Amino acid sequence: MYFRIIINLVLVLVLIAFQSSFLNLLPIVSYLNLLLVISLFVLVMNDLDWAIVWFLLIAFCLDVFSFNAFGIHLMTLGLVLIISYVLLINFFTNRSLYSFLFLVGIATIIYDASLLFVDYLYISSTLFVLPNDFWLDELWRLLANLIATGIIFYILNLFSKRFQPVFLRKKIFR
Amino acid sequence: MGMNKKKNRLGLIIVVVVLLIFFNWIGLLGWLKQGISAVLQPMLKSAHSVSSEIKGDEFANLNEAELIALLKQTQSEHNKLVADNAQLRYLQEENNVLRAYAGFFERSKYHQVIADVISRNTIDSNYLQNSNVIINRGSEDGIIIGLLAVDQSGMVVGKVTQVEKGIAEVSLINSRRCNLGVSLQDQARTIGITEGETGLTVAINFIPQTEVIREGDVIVTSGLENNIPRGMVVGKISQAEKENNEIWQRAVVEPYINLEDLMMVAVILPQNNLSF
Repeated sequence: MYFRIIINLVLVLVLIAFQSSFLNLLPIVSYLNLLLVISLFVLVMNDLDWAIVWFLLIAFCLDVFSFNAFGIHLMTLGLVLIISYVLLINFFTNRSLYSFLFLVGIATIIYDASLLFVDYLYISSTLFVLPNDFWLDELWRLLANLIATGIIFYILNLFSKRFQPVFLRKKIFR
Repeated sequence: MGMNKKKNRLGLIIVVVVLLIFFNWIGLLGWLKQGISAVLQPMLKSAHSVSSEIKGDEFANLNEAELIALLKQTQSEHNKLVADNAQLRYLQEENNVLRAYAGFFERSKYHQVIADVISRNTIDSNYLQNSNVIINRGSEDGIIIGLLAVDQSGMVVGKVTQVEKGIAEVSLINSRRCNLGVSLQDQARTIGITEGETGLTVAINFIPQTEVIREGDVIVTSGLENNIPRGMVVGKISQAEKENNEIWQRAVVEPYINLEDLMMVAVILPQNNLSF
């Protein structure tokens, strides 16, 4: 149990370093939020307990390196986890690629919208105005996350039987 | 897992988040944050340097004709700089003699803290188009908000906008959070305040129509603000927009340095806590 916690902690730290200092510097892939995508895979592949551990660890570490008020990532990622979990057990139960893409898409929009809102509260004191090209950037973020989700889904599908195939096969011949 | 148990788990998230925020507020989490920071900083630094190397140089995608054109442009700029340099050397020598005669004015030497860039564009910084880097020095090293960060050649990189114990955030000059009072290189008075636009360019707005600004003019800090030394090079004017029916004119500044490839920066500390 403790060994598993340490392994998960190390994975989270590596992932944060990879996202914050590697992906964010490169063109195009900087739109990808790998932390969010991987956390959602943990939620779907494992149980809720491990997803809570992942979300809290990631949010805590991001808050340590964030100059906004402490707790912003804990709140936004906590909100994403709760909404994603409710959607997962009520609507996206079949664990197919489509349900996964929907889940990641919705989580991305919720996460970005809540961070934008918090960012605005913290930084701006003027009337709320969306930054230039926000919707275009959001589209790119969404696209990057969905593509990454598809790739990770196929890779994991090779090793795990937890996911449904992309197309459900219909028996034509009896 | 029963429905009640699931609800309890989701309630647990809220409780843990609230407790963590509360513990941080009363200062109980300092040791944990320092521990995570100590473990993450080397990892962030390594990832950052690998990413910088992968990104490669900016000339890699140019074709032969573009490279030749770039070379010619660089040569002509180089010749101009050599001429300028010769003139400046003469002025420097003359200046030294005058200083020696005057005897009462000692040239200021800036105290600075060298810091590694450990991360850039923190994940929550993209939303309001703030371009920034995180450095591994903070308030413990004497860094305070508002200090100037420069690169190894003394060119302005940005301004410290946030400080924690062991880290600080430098908003780059193309960030809208970095505003600097600037003047033309050969003038003492401030012509305007720089403002980053969409994390891409640096603009000087509200320049009086009486100021004569030409493309290629060198822009330096004016020393208007506390703790910002005068004469640090910000960039050169790449576009001057002057309309006769407008009250103000506007200029776009092109920084001399590539803000994408920062590995280290120097933060200029205030001298004896006095402004420059």
